[in-house]
Amino acid sequence: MKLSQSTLGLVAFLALASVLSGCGSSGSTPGDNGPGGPSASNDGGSVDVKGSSFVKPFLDNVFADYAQTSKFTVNYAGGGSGAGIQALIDGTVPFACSDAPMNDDETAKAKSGKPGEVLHVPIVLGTVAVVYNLPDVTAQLKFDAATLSAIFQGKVTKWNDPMIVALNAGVTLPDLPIAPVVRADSSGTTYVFTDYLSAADAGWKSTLGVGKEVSWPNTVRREQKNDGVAKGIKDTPGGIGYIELSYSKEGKIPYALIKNADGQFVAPEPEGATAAADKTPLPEGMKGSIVNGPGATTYPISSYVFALLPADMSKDANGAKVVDAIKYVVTTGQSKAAELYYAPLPKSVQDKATAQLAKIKVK
Amino acid sequence: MTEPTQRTTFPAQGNRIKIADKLFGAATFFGAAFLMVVVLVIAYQLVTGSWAEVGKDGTAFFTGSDWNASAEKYGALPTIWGTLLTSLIAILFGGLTGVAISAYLVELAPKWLFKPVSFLVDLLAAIPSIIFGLWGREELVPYLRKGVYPELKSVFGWTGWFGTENSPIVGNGILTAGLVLGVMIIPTVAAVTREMLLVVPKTMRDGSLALGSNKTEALIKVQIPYAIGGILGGLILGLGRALGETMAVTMLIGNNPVLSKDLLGPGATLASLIATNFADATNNTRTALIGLGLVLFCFTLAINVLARYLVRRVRQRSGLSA
Repeated sequence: MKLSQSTLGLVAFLALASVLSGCGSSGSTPGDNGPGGPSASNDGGSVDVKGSSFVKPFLDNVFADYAQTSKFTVNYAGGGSGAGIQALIDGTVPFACSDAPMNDDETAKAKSGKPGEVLHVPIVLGTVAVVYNLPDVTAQLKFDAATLSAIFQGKVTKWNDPMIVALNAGVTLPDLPIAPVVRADSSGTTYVFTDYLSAADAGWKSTLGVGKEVSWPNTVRREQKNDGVAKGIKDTPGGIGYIELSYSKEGKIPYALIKNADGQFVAPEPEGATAAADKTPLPEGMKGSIVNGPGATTYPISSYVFALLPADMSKDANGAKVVDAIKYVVTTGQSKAAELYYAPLPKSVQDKATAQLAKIKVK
Repeated sequence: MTEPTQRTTFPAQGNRIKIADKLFGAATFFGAAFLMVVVLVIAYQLVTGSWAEVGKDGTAFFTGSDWNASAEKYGALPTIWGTLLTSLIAILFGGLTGVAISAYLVELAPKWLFKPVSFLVDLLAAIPSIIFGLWGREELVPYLRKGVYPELKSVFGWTGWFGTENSPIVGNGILTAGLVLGVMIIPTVAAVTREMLLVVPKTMRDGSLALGSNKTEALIKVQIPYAIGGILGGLILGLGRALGETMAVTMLIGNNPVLSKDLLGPGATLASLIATNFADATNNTRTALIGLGLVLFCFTLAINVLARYLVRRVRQRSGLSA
């Protein structure tokens, strides 16, 4: 009878746990957005910032260097581009970083809200690699926009489909179903990838379109964050997906060459993004996309990461320091880019970014 | 589920005892009141937090089949479908296994096996869900992908429930999530069933055996029917856990909120969609996700109410006191 009593206690506990777990998942707070990086012990003060998680390793590194010389600390918490823009609109951060430029809705909300007019300043470049898992294929595969579009719409379903074979003459492709893996969360990487497919393939633009999230077809698996997608592809023979270059390099997952607008097949290396930025000048206001740009060495799935700063920071006590920190990022900090698998801004863009920063009103 | 027994008061109680009782009574009252307040506050905040979206969309929120945060389309149906489907698989698989384990242990197994196996089953309940997720992902998924799902697809593929013509066999998906959930609810079901079978009066079983039935007949025709109220309660507790389970499901289901009857394909549950999207959700998406939380809350509430009702009804019908 002793045993049965203790077990009844366990049952009661389970009952409670099952009720609580039902509530717990809905009542939980957003992910840990606490400040990362060095603590705010430097004399020159500090600010906490949110935004694109893609650019976090780069900014952590550069802001740490900056703190050593200036004694001013920028704690970059990441948390995602969308969360960063939201925090900027709410006025809880002095600036934010985003993989995608602000859309019309966000711009309008910012204008009527705390930050007012927001300036876009490019701070670094990145590439999105298309990676795959075909255990018996050693050759590097090639893709173009039409084929990728068909694969991620679920129209091309086998690795030996004529569309893929035509691009990869001489490679023996297996009779294996294609298993696409994409992001489950709202993602700047998804934005860049779908932005590219929309720019290069009319069929994609009219169906799934551009977004941090799109309505993927039924057979597509979705995983969290870049590392989740990387793992999903690694685990699945026949898998294909898109991740930031650093996850392809560090996870040793082979990437494909992508056909650019000039008809060349290019690897997602940093040089390809710098070439893309060089050949596609940003419009006035610097708010733009460089996917599917011209140039023989251009990698077509490249993008800027933007710092989003209020045009008027004169009421912010740290305004001048923040602007100086970003200026450091777009100039001296660029030397850190390549070793962390980002691409440095071309000199012309660095100059434009510096000019853009000079427009910001500070105290 | 058992009502407290009638309290007896003694007139000769001294002052000291009265004060102690009052203090203790107040402390326990706050414990009880705290829990009620927590549940009510959660319910209130789920409703107010999601009303901007749920109120605007109305029934479309529950019947919409497209969830696309970028396009601000919030249809909860795919996740409701995924939640019910995975929980149903879990109850079919884990429920039957759990009842079988207990019937075996209580009635058929040699005596020395009772304690170690009971201990193992209870231990299963203590394993965190992320361990189940990891195990499912690293060990079960590759096995199912290579050994089981291709066969399942070639035999039952024509039904449309096990793969479509050109669908890849990835290994994760609705069925995999359901099976792992099934394993996770085994201890709940098994523990309750075991206790219920243990309290069946020995005379019932002995009488049945004396009338010429064998052990199996006694178990199926006498002992299980006697304990069925409790066993149903255990199954529903298991269902409650399966509905709300988040971590293991997120790791195994493929997280694509699509309305599809392909059990080998990906899906999403209410809990898994909240888990994958809440951290960086903003504005309307956050509101809609809280709406999913509200749906889940109502589901768990309904399940618990249903459990109580069923247990009471079954007991009344069989004329047994609690």
